[in-house]
Amino acid sequence: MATAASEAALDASWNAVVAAFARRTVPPTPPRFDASALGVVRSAGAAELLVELCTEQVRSDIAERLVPAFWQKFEWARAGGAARSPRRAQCAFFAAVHDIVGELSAHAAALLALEGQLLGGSGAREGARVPQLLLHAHSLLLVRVPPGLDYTLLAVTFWDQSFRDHCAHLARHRPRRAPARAAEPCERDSDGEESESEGEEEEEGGDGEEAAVMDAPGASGDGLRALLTPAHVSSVEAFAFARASGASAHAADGVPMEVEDEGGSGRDGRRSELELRLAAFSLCCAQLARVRWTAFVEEPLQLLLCARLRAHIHTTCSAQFGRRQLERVLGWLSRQLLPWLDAISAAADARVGVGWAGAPLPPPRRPAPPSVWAVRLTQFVHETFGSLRSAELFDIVCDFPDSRAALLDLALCLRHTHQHAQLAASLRAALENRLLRPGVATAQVLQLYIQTIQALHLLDPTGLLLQRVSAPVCDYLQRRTDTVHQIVKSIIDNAAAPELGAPLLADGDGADSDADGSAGGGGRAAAPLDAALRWRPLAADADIAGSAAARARGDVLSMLVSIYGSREVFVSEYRAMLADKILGPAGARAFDADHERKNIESLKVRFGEAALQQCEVMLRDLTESRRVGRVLGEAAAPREGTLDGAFNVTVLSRSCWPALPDDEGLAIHPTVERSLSRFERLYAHHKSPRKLVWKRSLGAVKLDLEIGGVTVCDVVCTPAQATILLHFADEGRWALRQLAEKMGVDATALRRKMSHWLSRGYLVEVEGAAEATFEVAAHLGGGGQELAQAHDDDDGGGDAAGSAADALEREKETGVLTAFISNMLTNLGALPLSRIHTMLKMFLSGTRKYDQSEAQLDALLMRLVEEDKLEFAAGKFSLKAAQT
Amino acid sequence: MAPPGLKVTVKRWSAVASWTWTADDDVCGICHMALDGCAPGAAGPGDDSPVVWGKCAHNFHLLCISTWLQSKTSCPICRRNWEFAPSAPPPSATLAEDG
Repeated sequence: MATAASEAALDASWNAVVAAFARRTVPPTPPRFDASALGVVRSAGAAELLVELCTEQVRSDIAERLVPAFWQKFEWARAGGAARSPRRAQCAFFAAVHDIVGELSAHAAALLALEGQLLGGSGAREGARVPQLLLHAHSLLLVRVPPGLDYTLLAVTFWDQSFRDHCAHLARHRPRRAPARAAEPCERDSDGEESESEGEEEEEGGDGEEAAVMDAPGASGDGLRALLTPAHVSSVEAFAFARASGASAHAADGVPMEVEDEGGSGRDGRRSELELRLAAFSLCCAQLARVRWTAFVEEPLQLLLCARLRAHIHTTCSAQFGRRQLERVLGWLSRQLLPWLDAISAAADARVGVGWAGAPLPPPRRPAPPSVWAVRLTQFVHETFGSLRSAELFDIVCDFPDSRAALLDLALCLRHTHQHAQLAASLRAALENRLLRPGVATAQVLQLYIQTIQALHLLDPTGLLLQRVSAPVCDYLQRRTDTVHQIVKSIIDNAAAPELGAPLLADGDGADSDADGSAGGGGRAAAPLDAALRWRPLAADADIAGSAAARARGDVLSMLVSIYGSREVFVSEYRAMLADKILGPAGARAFDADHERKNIESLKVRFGEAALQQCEVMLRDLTESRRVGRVLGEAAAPREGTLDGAFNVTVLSRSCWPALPDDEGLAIHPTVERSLSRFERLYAHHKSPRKLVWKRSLGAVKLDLEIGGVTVCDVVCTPAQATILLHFADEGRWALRQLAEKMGVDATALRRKMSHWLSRGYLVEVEGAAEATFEVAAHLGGGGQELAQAHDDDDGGGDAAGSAADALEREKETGVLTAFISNMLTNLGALPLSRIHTMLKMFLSGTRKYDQSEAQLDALLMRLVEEDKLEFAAGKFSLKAAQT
Repeated sequence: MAPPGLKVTVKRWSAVASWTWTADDDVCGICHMALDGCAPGAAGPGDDSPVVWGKCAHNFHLLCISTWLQSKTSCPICRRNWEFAPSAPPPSATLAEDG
């Protein structure tokens, strides 16, 4: 019976305890257990069992009630609803967390009390059950996310809204600035108690405005009070009051939770919407920390922070190269984001209004401390910023002298992130995609290459970055035929294009004083560049090998010349240009020798005296010719049938000029021929023992012509073209064959030369004639218009025809030379350049006379090497092995 | 034949010529550079690298032969005793033939 009685007692006690345990309250108050009932259970040895049973009850309550109830609150948010109404998501999140944490607290408090009173410190697993339960609830929550609900999005939205609130709060409590700034939209609280307008800082305008908008729930009814139940609201208000009234020990931790209760309304005063939300957020953080749901906290938080930073960087910095941006972003980080993180962290520490009375739990787990966040986020900023600028580097280079600020920022990022490889790869790809295209003019490619050199030098003074990027550009420029021409041209035209010419000339080591003179016109562009280029790396780098040292110095011209690897090619191209200029259609008269002398001086600094001696001689020839022309002109009496005053001769020193075309047996019109021979005799007499060799096809003629009563003035053409006209002036009609005979050229070449006049309509082909015959046009079509056009076309047209003929001529010559050289090398093996040159001179004479300079021969041989016909090794040329 | 309808007035005719020595050889026998080019060490061709004739009808850069004559007295090509010719062979055309 006793057993029956005791069983009944145990049964009653058991039930009493379980019933007491089930009477939880929210907020939690430890349940009162009947001591005698506990004693009965304990003495029956069922204490552990009872605790297990209760734990199991809690567990099933969590699984069956709490977790579904938690997700029930987000039923509306499925299929992207959270994104549509963020404010509601925030409130729902808060309410859900608040409720479940409340329930869990009640459970935990009850369980702890039961454990404490029933097991009395003897239970092996005492104190371990509550953390286990919390963990269990946490996992269940994450596992049971309803299908169709994007939990991450929800959580991110929650954090995001809170962050906006935080920004709005910061904006409100920032010291007022100049009144002019206060032009931002008004922030209006739901209560309408106060309306403040506070100017956001300029660079933070985006967030400030957002915050202002978010802070104005207005008519849409998404204020906290509308969305939350009164119970929640009062809980939040209690929390806020507790914090504000100093119960919190965290007043000094950098989170100004100022309360703006005007009129001392105290606890009853209706707090502003913003404050409520902030309080709700803090409460939520504290609760989350209390139940140690870290996965709920950190992952979405990190996602949000990174997304925020990325968005901030992209909106404020992209394509803004004119000002330093990095500092501002970091400032934004430290002014806006980090305080918020501090606030979260502080809230997690808060012991107000949460927790279960006297529960002996280990301290709550907080999100990573702010200092860790700061380091992590600063790194993130550097990386994101670096990636952005890396992707934009091509544009930065395009803007170069104006985008220095962006480059300095990027350099700072690189110091932290070492993204050099990524940067080089992206710039390389951008250059290949956007620059190295057939449609881009060589001058532009060069210009950009120069800017790349300068920009990367700023970024990475060691030049290694440049080395990685420049390879494709160099390869590409090498393939373009007019690169050398363009480089030289850019040096020569530096007055016209200072941004290109100035850096070329200004950066030589010893050239500074000279460059100041020659680049004086480029003032604006030159000044910052000079400053940039004077910068020198530390002495530790001084022993790098030659080309690397040039690279490190950002020596633009050296880099450009090194595209070709040889200065000779460079100088000979310059020589060719100089020759074109002197002998061009404008003629020696218009040639500005002083300017050219200056150019030569600047080139000398780079290439040395010897390399440019020939160019100097060319200029000296010019002045000497003028002098001789004057002297001979005075010596000779004017004579009938010659061109006295209108005639001048440029006498060249053959060996110093680029290859000049042969005369092709061209016979100039007799009138002019008389002048030529007269001058020749005078010259031979005056300068004995020298004589002249005419280059009849070279030179320029300026004439006036009159057709059918219309006069065209100042037509510039080649001597051959002028001769054609003079012949047509003598006789109005010529058969092509006859005229060709008369002029000593073949008919096709003559027709090509005549096309210059045919296209202008001065000459016309006679139709219906037995053989090709031309005559003077009866009248001119356009009159005055024609005149202007004639001027425009003359320069190019004449030149092109001439150079085409020259090219043909050269091609023929080259064929003979190539055959000769390959025979020579077959017999004699490898030979150096000078030897080949001498042998050709010795053996090639008579009709196919060899008259090329050594540099020309070098160019030819090098071309043959490129064409894989010859090999060049150890200073000697030989036949390609496969061919021998 | 149609009457000439074209009248041309030459306002300027810039002709181009190159000069050369009235010598038989192209290259200086000593330096193997073109006679009308630069002697080694000279500043430029022409007046800066004058050419001289010997009585043996061989010609060299003045600079080259002077250096040679410091150690030898013969012509470096024909080994005859070197004597300067008084002047270059007379040019083929003289002013007297003019007109």
